[in-house]
Amino acid sequence: MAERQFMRVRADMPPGHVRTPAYLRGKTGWVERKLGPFPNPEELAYGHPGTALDLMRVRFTMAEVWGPKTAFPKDTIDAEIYTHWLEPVEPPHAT
Amino acid sequence: MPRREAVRENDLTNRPCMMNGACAKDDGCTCIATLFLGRIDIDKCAWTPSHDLNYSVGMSKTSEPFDGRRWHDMGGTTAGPIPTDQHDFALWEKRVDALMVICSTKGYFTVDGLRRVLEDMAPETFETMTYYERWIASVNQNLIEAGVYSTAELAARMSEVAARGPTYGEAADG
Amino acid sequence: MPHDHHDHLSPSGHPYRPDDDHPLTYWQQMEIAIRELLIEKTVTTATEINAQIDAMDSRSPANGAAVVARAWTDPVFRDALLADASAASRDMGFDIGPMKLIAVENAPDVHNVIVCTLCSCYPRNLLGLPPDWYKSRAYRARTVNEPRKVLSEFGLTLPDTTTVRVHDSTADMRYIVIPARPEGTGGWGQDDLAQLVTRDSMIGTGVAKSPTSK
Repeated sequence: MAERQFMRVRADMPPGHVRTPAYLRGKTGWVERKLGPFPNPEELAYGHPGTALDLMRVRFTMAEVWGPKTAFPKDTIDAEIYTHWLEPVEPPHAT
Repeated sequence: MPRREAVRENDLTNRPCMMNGACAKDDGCTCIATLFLGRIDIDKCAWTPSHDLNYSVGMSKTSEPFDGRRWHDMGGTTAGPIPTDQHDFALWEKRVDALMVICSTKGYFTVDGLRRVLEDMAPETFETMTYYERWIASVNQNLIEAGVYSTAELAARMSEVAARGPTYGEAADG
Repeated sequence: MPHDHHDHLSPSGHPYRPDDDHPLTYWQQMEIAIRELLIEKTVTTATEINAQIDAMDSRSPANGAAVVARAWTDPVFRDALLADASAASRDMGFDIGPMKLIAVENAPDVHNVIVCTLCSCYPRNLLGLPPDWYKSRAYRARTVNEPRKVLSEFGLTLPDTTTVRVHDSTADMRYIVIPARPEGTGGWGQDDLAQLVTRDSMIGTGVAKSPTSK
């Protein structure tokens, strides 16, 4: 089984059109699958040609997103995140 | 801070303020931020938010400092039960949908351009305007930005449309 | 004299949205004006607009139900659907335009549900336009942090042993859930099976109908 690639979503809060949901910013998940390059929506939204960016489906546990006291910590959330919002990180310790 | 403007078509005295005093105006009126959108349904002024609105910078006073999260970014916020109401789309709504698909397919603007304008609307518009009312407002702004027509052309045509008759059916038969 | 639709329901059983014989609204006035300007400036034609409306009207959950029913009965197709749901849907003859579709499959211990927290992205080119609740603040806000409570409001209670996977449709992909094939449907053909596949079961707020409730 392939090693999971863990990624942390940047915790930035820029103004303007962004497709990275606020509730995932600063959270760490792993790459569920890679989707290939897509034009950057943050540029498309303002009438500019979109720079091609890799898009990834990242999977987060409910515990990571909402804290360990969440009702079902092992349930998951998958979201598509562009790579300029992602920073590779070391795998967290086994939970 | 831009001054909020309300279109006063009716006598607004004695109506409760939908913003529960949280708005930026100081005269106790029933304003809804309209900014570039133009006009709102004044009858909905009695609406009271059932959740904590996250105001965009410069739009309104708010009880907590703005942390950068924008109103459309709703995941994980508190909200009520899932509504069960359902309606069939009216012809004018289907036409708005079709115009969006056709113009974006032909490259006049992108889906992200549509979303950007929707997101830049005042937070209240999510409750005070219907889905396709917000869409036509956004389609319009994107088409003006793309140079397809001017605001003056639109204004003149809208006046012509309204002069044809008081109902959609009459006004649409140009 | 204008008459009133209030006492009438559409063929689908839902009330008509006030339209032709109700007072013109500002936004309808704008729609008419924009449409006319776009036609005059040869951006589009009335024919093209009507064709686009017809194309959207022709899309419905029945399309997705046919895809799911085939996946239930054809293992090769199921694998193709999971590998590339856009290509598999097109291979069945559905015109889904440029939509990029991902199929996620329920299992005995996994339940998938789709939401779009940032707007209301939906696999419209396969299933038609989304239900109103899918676009609501409540569904968009709550599905990512209390999916089981949301599902219970749809009448779906999942065992604690089931893992819930929420898919937030944040960017370029659209999603369809392949619900579990109901018990007691051995030997059924695809057309009969498709009758069990509801819209909500493909969003994940429901499951496929059981054969006894058909």
